[in-house]
Amino acid sequence: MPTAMPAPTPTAERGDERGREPMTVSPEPSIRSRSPSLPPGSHYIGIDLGTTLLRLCAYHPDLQTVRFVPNERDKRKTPCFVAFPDDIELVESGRKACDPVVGEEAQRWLFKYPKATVFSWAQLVGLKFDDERVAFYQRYAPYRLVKDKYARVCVEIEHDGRQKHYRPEDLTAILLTYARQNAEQALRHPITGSVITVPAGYTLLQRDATKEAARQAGFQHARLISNAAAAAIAFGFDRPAHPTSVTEYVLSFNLGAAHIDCAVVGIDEEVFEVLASAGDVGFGAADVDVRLLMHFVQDLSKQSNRKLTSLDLLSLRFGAEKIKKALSTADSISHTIQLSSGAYAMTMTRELLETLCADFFDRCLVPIQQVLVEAKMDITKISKVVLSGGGSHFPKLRDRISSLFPGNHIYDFALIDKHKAVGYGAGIESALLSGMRSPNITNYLLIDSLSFSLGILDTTTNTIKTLLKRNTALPAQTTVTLRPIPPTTPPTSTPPAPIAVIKLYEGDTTDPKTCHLLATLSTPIPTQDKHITLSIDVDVDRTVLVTLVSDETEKNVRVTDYPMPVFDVSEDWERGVGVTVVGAGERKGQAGGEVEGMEIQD
Amino acid sequence: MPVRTNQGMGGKDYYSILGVSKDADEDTLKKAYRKAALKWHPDRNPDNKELADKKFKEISEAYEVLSDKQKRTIYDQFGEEGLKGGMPEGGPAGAGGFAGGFPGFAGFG
Repeated sequence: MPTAMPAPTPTAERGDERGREPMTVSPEPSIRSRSPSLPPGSHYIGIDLGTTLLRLCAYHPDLQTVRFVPNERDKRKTPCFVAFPDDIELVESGRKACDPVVGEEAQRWLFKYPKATVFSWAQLVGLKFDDERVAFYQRYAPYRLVKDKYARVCVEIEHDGRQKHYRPEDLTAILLTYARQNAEQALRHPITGSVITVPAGYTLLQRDATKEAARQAGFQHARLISNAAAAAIAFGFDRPAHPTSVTEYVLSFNLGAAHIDCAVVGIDEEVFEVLASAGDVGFGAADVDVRLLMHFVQDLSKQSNRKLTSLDLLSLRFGAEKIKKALSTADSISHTIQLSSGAYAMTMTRELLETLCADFFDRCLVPIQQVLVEAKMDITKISKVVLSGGGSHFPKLRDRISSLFPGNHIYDFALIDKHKAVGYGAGIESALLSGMRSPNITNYLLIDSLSFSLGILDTTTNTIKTLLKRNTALPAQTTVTLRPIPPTTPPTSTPPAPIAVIKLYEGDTTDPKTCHLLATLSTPIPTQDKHITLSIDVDVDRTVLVTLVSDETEKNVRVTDYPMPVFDVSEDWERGVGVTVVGAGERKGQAGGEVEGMEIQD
Repeated sequence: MPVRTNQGMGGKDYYSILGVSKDADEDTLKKAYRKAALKWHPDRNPDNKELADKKFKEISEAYEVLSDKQKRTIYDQFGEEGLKGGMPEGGPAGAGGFAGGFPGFAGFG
């Protein structure tokens, strides 16, 4: 099995040549030639790309349904670890120098090469180095995080005594290359596309970085869907017989290691429609591990002969994770963690864990209330609450969520293992995109929606005017009329440039400081009717296209701020004039139903 | 205020985009939207993505307006311009209020 793969050239050496393929994988003609009967077209796999675990799920033509794809160790899950052991170790184990190792094999190197074994980096994808989540991550990571030339975060690896920098998406690309090779080996046909699950709260930049990773890994197309949407799809195929003409509304809640996803999804006989979604990225079940870790550190500080090394912190962190999992079912657990100063034995009760994490549970409920309000969905219309993700099994959390909904609404998966719901949903979506249909995989369509609003800066008020509101069904389009704003300051020696400067933002507030600048665009100031027409188009893969029409000139700009925000303005941009939005062009997304006086009881 | 039809107003005819009559109720609208969305979603039209993309956008925009009572009322009276231009007096959006606002720009073009 191809667990080894050519190493991507580290960013520092690679520079900015996005056209190059640093992850070229040697072709495997033997695999390809073994599948002559494979129907033409695209072949997708579903990838549950969690923070800690990776699962692959794909359509199985003989079984006519989706199945999890085993890895080279015949396991259905692979830990998200990438390690760069010293070359001598690699050569001794029959690999090529510089090859990264992935999965359980990489996990094995954690304590020997703590500065070259990376884990849980998914939460770093697309973050600015000065994001507070980066500082928090750094406190518990044995390797250094550094800033790249776009001020984004990079991981510094120590390999054979030298430092190398990897962007988080480069590490994801290594993992996805492994995933693709793994699937091609097991399925015996080439894989051209992927359905990858990401947190619902991923920004366009984080999504673009993930798509870049998929491209580097050799996927021609990557469809990103949220964990919550994937779990809702799994529910749709797992649910008991339902009068199909009636739309069923479910609340899908997914608690991963470093994210919370929440969505209201409408399901009828042929459609899964994401009516509203919300999430918290960088906050998840791993925060419970951190609470436990801090508790242990405090406990150990009472013992005089204890000094904690950075490896001890790692041991405590992974020990905390084990204890947390055990306390999902047990009331109390005794556990011993080996530290440099000797064994640390402790007993932990679920009660104490719940006390340490009281505010954690409160925060988990915030996105639930948000999506219900945004979907304009009365709580009585929600027929089921679908819980997924490792963290959603805390008894306390189940109780808290359950108490929000009158009656017993928590859905227990019947056919599917609840831990695998997200992967299963991604697998079904991948079968649908591959055009596979069977009695088990009926012709469903996922209609997804925008995760964050898109708007432009209105310079009369210096606020962001929303043009496409979050939760608008995709693909979506809106057109508005803009008017250039004459400068208010008296004329100076440098007159304004004859261009209007338009700033496109992603975010849900009106304050430009708290939203994310996607692009700075310009267009000539119109002379005839003094108006500019701006259109924003977002396709199913969230590619954003902006069209600006001013007089006779038309300009199309594809907006992605990966690897850096679009800056499509001439040198005169500082002297360009701002714009204001004329009329109410905002699109608000559709309503799931009529609600009056909605209230959530806690 | 007399109720005008949106025909002849130059904007999009959301009712015909969804294929429903002007007095369609909420349920009829929803069914029509689902049917049209299924037909025209780009994932369902891999060989005709561009047209499907355009059609789906029109369909969802039409449904968004007609499923919102307030927007539907404005649309029924003033057409698409009523929603986009915010100019119930009629005429192209922005034609009246802004003319001559900043003569200084004429010289830049």
